Order: sequence, then C-alpha cells, then structure tokens
Amino acid sequence: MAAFETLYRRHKDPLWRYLLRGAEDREACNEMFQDVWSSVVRSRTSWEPRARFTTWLYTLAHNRLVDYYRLRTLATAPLEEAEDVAGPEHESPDAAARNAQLRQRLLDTLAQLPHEQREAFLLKEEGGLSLEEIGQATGVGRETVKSRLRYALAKLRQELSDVWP
Amino acid sequence: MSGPERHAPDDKLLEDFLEGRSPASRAWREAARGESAPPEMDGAVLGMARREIEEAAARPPSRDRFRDRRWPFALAAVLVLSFSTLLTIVQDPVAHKDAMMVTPDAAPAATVVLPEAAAPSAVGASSQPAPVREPVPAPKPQAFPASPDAAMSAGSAEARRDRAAADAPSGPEAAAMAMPAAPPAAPPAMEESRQAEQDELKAARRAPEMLRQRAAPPAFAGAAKLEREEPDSEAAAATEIERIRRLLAEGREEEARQALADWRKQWPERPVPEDLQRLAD
Repeated sequence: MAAFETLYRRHKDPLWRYLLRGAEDREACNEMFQDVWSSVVRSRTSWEPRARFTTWLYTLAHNRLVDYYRLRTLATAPLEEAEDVAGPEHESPDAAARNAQLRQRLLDTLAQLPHEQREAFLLKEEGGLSLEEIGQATGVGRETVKSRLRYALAKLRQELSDVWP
Repeated sequence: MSGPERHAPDDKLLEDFLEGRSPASRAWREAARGESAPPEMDGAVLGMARREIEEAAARPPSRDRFRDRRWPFALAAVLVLSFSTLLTIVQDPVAHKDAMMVTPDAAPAATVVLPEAAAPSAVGASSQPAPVREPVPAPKPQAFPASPDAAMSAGSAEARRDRAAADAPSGPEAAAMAMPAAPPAAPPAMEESRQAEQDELKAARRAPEMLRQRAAPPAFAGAAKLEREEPDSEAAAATEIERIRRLLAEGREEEARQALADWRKQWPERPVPEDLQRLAD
C-alpha cells in the first residue's frame, strides 16, 4: 500500500491535468482519474516491468480517454467554458493578471488543437514521456508523434506570437 | 494527419520543445502550477486501493496462485497416472499372463496380429509329439467375430485374452516364450487329440488372413505388409518347413501335402525346398 501511495502522490497531479485537458470536462476527468488508478490497482499483479510505470500509466489514461471520446463523440471544438486558472499567490497583481491571461490563451489554443496533437503535447509536458513512449502509449509510430507535435507547436506559436518570438 | 497546416513544421521548434526550452513548455508549466487533483480524489483513490488490497488478502488463493503451482500439479498428475497404469497392468492377471505367454490356447489369438511369426512358432512348439491333455476344441466362432467392432467391444474374457495376446511379443520372442509353455509330449496314438490340434492350427493359420480381410483397418494395412516382410517371417517359414518334413518322415504324406499347400499360400514368394518339390507337384 505504501508503494502505491508513493506512486500515486508522484503522478496524480500530472495525470489529472492530462485528463482534464484531454476531456475538457472536470466531472469526466474526475471519473476517469479514479478509473485509471483503479485499473492500476487491479492490474498490480499482472504488470510486468517491460516499460516505465509512467508509460504504462499514461497508456491506461489514453485508453480511457479514447473510450470517453467514443462515448461522447467529442468534436475538436474549443472549450465552451474555459477553466479559470488561478495564478500563484506570490505574484504581484499585475504579473498575476498577465500570467493568468497568458495561461488562459495557452489553454484556449491547446483546446483548439485536434485531440491527437493535444494529447501528444500533454503526454510530453505532463507525463514527461519521450517520443517513443508517447508512440507506445498512443499506439502510433515515433514519426507520427513527431509530426503531431510539430503541428501542435506551430499552432501554439502562431497563436502566441506576441509572447513567443 | 489532422488539421490543415499553413506553416512548414519547424524541427528547431520541436527540438527546443523536447528539451524543455520552448516558450510553450514554460508557459504550460506556469499554467499548470496552480492545478492539481482535488483532495477528495486522494481520499477516493487511496480508499479504493486500500479496500482492493484488503479484499485481495482476504480472498482464497486465486487463479494466479494456481498458475504458480501448475508444474508441481502437472508432475503429480503424471506420476499418479503412471502409477495407476502400472498397477492396472500388474493386477490384471489374465491379460498380463496371456500377453506374456503364448500358450496353445492363446495361439490363435496371437496370430490375429502377428500371424506369420507367432502362429508357426506355436505350431513348431506343438508339433512335438502330441501333448497329454484334454482335446483342444477348435477355435470358437466368437473368437473371430464377423465385425471387428464386435470383437473390440466384447467384454468377455476371451475378447480380453485376444487383445492381450495381440499385444504379445512377436517373432522369435513369441516363439521363445511359447516353447517353455508347451505342454509335455504325448504318444502319437492319441489320434483324436492330434486331429483337434491340427484343426486348431489350421484355423490359426487362416484366421489372420480372414481377420486381415475382414477387420484390419486401412491404417494398419501398411503395417501388416511390413510385418510380412520382417525377418521373423523367415524363421517361421523355416519352422513350418521342418514340421512338414517331420510329417513326411512320419508317413503322414497327405497332411504334409496339405501343410505345404498352406505354406505356399502363406509364403508364395519363397521357393519350395527341393526335397519337398514332389509334394508341391
């Protein structure tokens, strides 16, 4: 139990953000979050260390997201109700306002990406997965992952050109 | 790939991103800093994990535990089966005895599978002066049922003896085992006994052919042909020739002629010895 708790504390926030940005729905995110960890617990005896735990965890999360997409036939439309993102408390009001605005733009732009591109971006940023690991988690090749990331970054850069030289 | 693309993908952009130097990465980390899983999720997930682990500990041994022990189980099963098979063989006196000893009574059955080898051996053994014993009845019709299925399904002792005898060793081994089992000699005067024996031996020689024609499944046809060509057959033919010579020496020319005719039918490819040519003509 202690080992599980260690893993959980280490991965819970990145995984939760990955699911939140993937699903764009807090309720669904919470449900999937519990499902994924439940799968981890149930599969603890059959898991074999053929890949990093992180890769396996995000593979489970990806599969759960795919199921969610299938159920909801979620279009790759932008968020209708963007999540409000609070800034860190130590920032000055102006800086906090600017950063909050930047974060919101980033999230909006990310939400506009096709979910394959968004997922590749999130797996790299939140999961810290390599190209190969992203490919393994999503079931595609390394070059496909690279291509998705290139398109995602180009789009983000285009939308954030004033702060991204 | 999804989505139209107006800009050429930039590898430098990708490299920077993968190394965490991209402004997008920095912006994302800033954006993510204040976001974390709700505390109620911690309670729900950790509680679920605790319950699952406790239930698993309380559960009886699962299939996985069986998987870990499948090799010992398999080994134990093999040992038990081997032991019980051995015990069955040892404790079945009829089948065991008949399989190991080709007695005159069992000779017809023995020839069912190994006719050329076993039958003449038995003949050789019994062609000694006639044994002192009760007249041997001719093979009963039940011993060679019209249908092989009937023979196989018969639960009688004879059917079982037939099967056991069919498993008996062939050729010289059978002959060697049959020799000591032959009963002691009897005076040649016992004509009735001799006649019965002759009938029995004739039936024994013909039975294999009958069975081969009626009952032998096609799958065994090749095996039967091979058996015919085995070297054991040569010894059996020679034994039979010796018997014919003895009959001739005893003045039983008609019987010898008949035996030679049978011999020629059984081994048509073999030349008739010169001293018996006159009988063959």
